[in-house]
Parts: sequence; structure tokens; C-alpha cells
Amino acid sequence: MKGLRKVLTPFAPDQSGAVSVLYGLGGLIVIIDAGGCTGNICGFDEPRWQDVRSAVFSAGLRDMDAILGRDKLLVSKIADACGRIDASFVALIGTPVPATIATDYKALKRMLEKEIDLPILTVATDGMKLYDEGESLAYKALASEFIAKEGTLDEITLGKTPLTYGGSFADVSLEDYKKIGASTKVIAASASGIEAAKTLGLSYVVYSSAAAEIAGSIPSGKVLVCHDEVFGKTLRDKGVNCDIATFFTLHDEIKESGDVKITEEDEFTDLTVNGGYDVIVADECLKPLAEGFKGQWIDAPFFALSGRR
Amino acid sequence: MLKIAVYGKGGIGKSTVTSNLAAAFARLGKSVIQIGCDPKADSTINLLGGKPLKPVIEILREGGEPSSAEEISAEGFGGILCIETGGPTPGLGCAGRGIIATFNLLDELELFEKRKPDVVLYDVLGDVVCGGFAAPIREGYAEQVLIVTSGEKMALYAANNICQAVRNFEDRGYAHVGGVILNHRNVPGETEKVYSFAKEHGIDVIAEIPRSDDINECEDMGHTAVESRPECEASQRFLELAKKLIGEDK
Repeated sequence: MKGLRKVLTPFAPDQSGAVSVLYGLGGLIVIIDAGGCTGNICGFDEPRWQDVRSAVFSAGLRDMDAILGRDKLLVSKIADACGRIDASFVALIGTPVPATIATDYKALKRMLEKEIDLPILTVATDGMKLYDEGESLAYKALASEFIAKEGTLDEITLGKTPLTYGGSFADVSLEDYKKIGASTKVIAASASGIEAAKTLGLSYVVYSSAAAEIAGSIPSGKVLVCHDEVFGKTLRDKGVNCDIATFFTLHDEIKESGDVKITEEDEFTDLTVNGGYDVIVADECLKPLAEGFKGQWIDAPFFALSGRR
Repeated sequence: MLKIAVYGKGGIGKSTVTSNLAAAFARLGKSVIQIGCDPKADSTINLLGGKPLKPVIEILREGGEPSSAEEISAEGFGGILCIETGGPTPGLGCAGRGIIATFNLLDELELFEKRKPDVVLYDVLGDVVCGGFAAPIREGYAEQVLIVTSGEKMALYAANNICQAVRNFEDRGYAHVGGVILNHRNVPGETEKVYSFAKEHGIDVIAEIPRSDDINECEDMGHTAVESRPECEASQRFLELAKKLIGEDK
């Protein structure tokens, strides 16, 4: 049945992706929800929550807030929080609730800008898409508020968030983003990194250091990589004879013959049984879908799929 | 680009006014898009020879995933691109959400960027009853609201509510009220009542449309008066209004 998940748990949604980009930049992050999405993001999709302090709050929407469209109440709550927290910006992150009641983010931004002397970022995620699209939207919001050609910066990596790379994420600061236009080298480490570089109009190289590290240990033969597209592309660039299957964005510039974007569990199973692959490089959470596969499995953790670092 | 939302009490003639105004812009050589934002989905019918247009929500309901504006629109008189948001089965779902879903789709399809129209007209259902029905006046959409009213008490009551709603949205960067269109029903003291209302709200009556058999007869044929009888008085008023709005836009 289309869309039915029998083995895999839901992947990290777009609002988690948005927070993943903005977490650790020193902003006040307000998730426009009743509380559940914030719990999911902090409890499951953000590994830094246990280790690094960041001001992530739920708007705490209640039934009457949705019915009455009490945007002014939300603005006053955020203004109050800004008085207590030393934040460098405010970011509003959308979830299914504001998407359903048609919250107007541009209006909220205008209202907040009158109350608070801080940059206001709005990310209109809706919980219906996957994390990489939310990351891309967050980069777009950052680009619209902060990014300039000031200063100097040797190298910056975009899209290397914990959701794609677990503990091996790139620790990019807000100051780095502000200087990105002057960067000598932009590395797109994932699908959202490619989108971010495109949004910024910067030339970039696609490269995953995590993929490069394991490339030498992959046995020869026909390989299926099920991960982010840049992870697969890097393996290919390192000489691995692989096809890429990804549940996330597959850009035309990456896609080669044999590469596929998949959405269903059965599609992955079909590849493992009928694809003629000798090796699979993927998160172990996908293994139950490949019971008929007789080749070698190389584990490549993918936090957005399994929550494994 | 001239971006106008037409509001007013249900049954006051918003769709008639909007379609005739669209046709007038087209006759003046402008590229026009008309978006009907009413679940009844009958805003553009008289620009399309009386043929109803399949609404966007209906296309989405059937599982369609439109990838181009052509799939959700039809070209009517004067090349006017017609779109109807439509809505849920009456009594179910959320019509306001339907408008938002349609607008999100138009953004995704980059309709305005690709088509580059001179004029966009939004024909909106009755009062501003919820966030969805205010969507046409949000930043990036209509820049001015034209209110259609007659001298009837309830029409003026609705017009007052619309003025109030727009004023409440001032801090949100929404559209402003561009004026009142008096659609005559020939009730006693009509002109005085409507001008008095406009003065009270500090806005202008920017056009008066006479009660006209020409409009009704043309609509019976599935046309606007501006299309079929451009010489009639009502059509001339629409053409004058279109010229005025173009002039203000410059």
C-alpha cells in the first residue's frame, strides 16, 4: 500500500531540518506548535539537545489561539522572552498547525520587527515534507537576513547537519554565515547544502568527508548506496562503482543512470532483491527491508532515518 | 503590476464587477489574471462563454499534482487567465484553507513571475471571515481592496466590516482600501448613503455602475457586458474605472 510504513519509523520532517540548521547559532528559536513538534525535535531529531544549550521554545498554541488567530499574543510572548534571553535573532519555525490555520509569517515578521530590535527569520515549514527541504528553507531565511560579502572566510561547509551526519556535523557559526559571500570555497555536503549554495548564488563543490572516509573500505563489486545524494556522489567520485537510492532530494546534477529517488519501503526492497548489487551501503535500520539480499552490508548511519549517531 | 482584491457582501455583484473590470483591462490591452476565491467557483464563468472552470481544489481532490499554470486555468475573453480556487463540499472541511492551498500552489508554479501580468484581480467571497479569506490581501498579493456595495443596509454593513478588517491589518503590511464601487440597486437614497459611508471611512467612491439590463442579458449569454456590449453605459463605466486604476498605478 502506497505510503504505508511497515518497518521504518517516520523520517525527520521539515521543521526538524529547519531547527537543525539554526540550532547553535545563538538565536531564539520558536516552534509554532502546541508542544508536540517541539518535543519531537528536541527529543528525537536534535542530538545536540543533550549536550549544547540552545534557546528552543514551543509557541504553546492552544485551541483558542488557533480559533482566534491570536498573533498579537504570540508576538508579546516572544518579546517577553527576548527580554530575558540574549539572542542574536528570532526564528519562527512552522509546523502543521500554523499551516492548517494559514498563519501569515510575513505579517508576524512585520509585527515582531516593530516590537523587537532583532532580525526575524521565518521558516514556513509545514511538517508534511522531509528534513532536507526544511534545511533548505532555513538556509534561505538565513540568506535573506544575514549573508553578506564582508570579512574573509577560507572555507565553509553547508548541509552538514546532525540529521545527515550525526555527531560529525559541521559547527558553523552565525559569524561564518555572515561572511559566506567572501568564502574561498563552499562545500555542499548534502542535498540541502546544494540548495543553500544555489540560493546564495555561490559556486560550490559537492563533497562528503564521511563518505570519503569509508570509500577505501568498500569491497569491489556493484554497490547500492542509500543515503544522502552527496554521500553517494562522493563515494562515486572516490571510485566506488555505485548507484544512489535516496529518500530525499536527488538533484539532476548528481543523478546518473541507475540512481533513483525512492519513497516507499517496497522500492528499496525491490532494489536489494532485483538490482544485482554485491554491496549495500546504508543505515542498518533498512536491513529488515533487505531480507533477500545475500551480499555485504556496510553500515552508514543516517540520523534522519534511524536516530543513530 | 496592479493587484486588486474585490470584496463585498454576498450577492452584491462582486463577480460581475470583477469580470467586467477584467474585461475592461483586457480591452485596454492589458494582460490580466482573475482569481476567483469563492467555493462556488463561478467568478470567471462570464469570461469563459458561460462554461464553468474546474476549480483548483477539485483538481487537487482528484489527486492531481499540477506542474504548470495551464493545468489549473483557462484563457477567457481578451486572453484573461482565469483561475478558481473552489472549496470543499459545503459543510465539510475548511474553505479558507482551500484558498491558502491554491495560493501556495500558485507560488510554487511561479505564476506571476512567469506570466508577468499587468493586472491581477482577486474576487473574494463576502466578508473577511478567517485567515484564509484575508489571504488575497496579504503581502505579496493584492495591494488594494475595492469594496463593492449598494445602498442597501446589509451591503453597507458588510462594507463597514471589510473596512474594519483591513484597518485591523495595518500593522501586518496588508493591502489598503482603494475605494468603493457603488453597484446601483436603485434603493431610495442610495447614492447619498454610499457617499456618506465612504466619507465616514475617508475613502472615495471610485465608480458607479448603473443597474443595467445589458449586464444581465450579456450574462445570460455567458459574457460580460464589456465583451458583448462595450458601448453600453455600464461597460463605459468599467472602462473608465480601468483607465483610472491604470493611471493611479503609473
